[in-house]
Amino acid sequence: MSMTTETHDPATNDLAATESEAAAAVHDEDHLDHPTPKQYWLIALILAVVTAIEVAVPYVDALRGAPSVFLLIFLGAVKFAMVVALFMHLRFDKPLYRNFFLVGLVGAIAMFVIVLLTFRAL
Amino acid sequence: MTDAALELSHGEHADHHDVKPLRKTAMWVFLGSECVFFGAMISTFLLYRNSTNDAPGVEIFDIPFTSASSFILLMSSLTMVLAHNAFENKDMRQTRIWLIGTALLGSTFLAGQIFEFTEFIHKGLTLPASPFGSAFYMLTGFHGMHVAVGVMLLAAMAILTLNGRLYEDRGLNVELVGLYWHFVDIVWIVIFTVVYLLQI
Repeated sequence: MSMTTETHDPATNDLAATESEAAAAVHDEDHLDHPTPKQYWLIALILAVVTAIEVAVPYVDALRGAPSVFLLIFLGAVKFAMVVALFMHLRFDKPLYRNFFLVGLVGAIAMFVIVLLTFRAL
Repeated sequence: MTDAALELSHGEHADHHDVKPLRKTAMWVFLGSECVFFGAMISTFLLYRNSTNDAPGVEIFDIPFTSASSFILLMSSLTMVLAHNAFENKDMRQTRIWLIGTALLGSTFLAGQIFEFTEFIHKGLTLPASPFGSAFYMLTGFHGMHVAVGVMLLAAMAILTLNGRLYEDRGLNVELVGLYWHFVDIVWIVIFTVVYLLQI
């Protein structure tokens, strides 16, 4: 019976361990724990309920006019934020991704306001 | 391990960890630019929402029907995130099931949009009928094209799972397609609120 012996170089082992710890630290920093499938279903349920409320709002006479507009914008913003933060994992990922997305989003909102103010449509 | 082998090993390791975030960063930059694109379209729609030139306007919107379509697209985000979750757990069968589910929900949304457009055209709201018609069809049509591209990407991903050629660190993976799909969903959240619900 032949026996194989592996030689372990302590320096290489230390290096590998340090590298592994560093990778784990980067991983922890970049990726906080994502929601579980059960939590994803719960988020979807909340989104469905918010959508149902949104659809009902325009038909409620007591909310006609400005309250309806503000409520619809608020509910839309809640859904938008939930999908971006939880389904797109922006809450758990690197801030760099969030910054790139925010640049576009803020740019879009700024353009929207400028265009509508220019044409006196706001 | 020789120095050269150790260096090569480190090089491969660095490649694996550097290229993936780079592609993900590129996707987020792309999505940021898409925000501006759809922002311009939505601004245009709001500018021309009252310019109907005697053609039909917002009164022809069928809110219950569009609400059902919106719900379907919203739920496709759930199936997409479940596909991504299964992919991260290396469960290719579940990944494939959820990818196909997402593609089917996306296709249902598209079918609903085609039905809606057909109804509107029969009622006289065509692309050249009025500035309102042009702005409406350009905005919702471009969104529909994005959904169609997403459905094709999802179908391609599902086929790649069959061949065992879907890799985490190469090509357009489930995470990147997922980001694109969720983006299409959030754009519809804005369109549904601004174009449909706020106009009735």
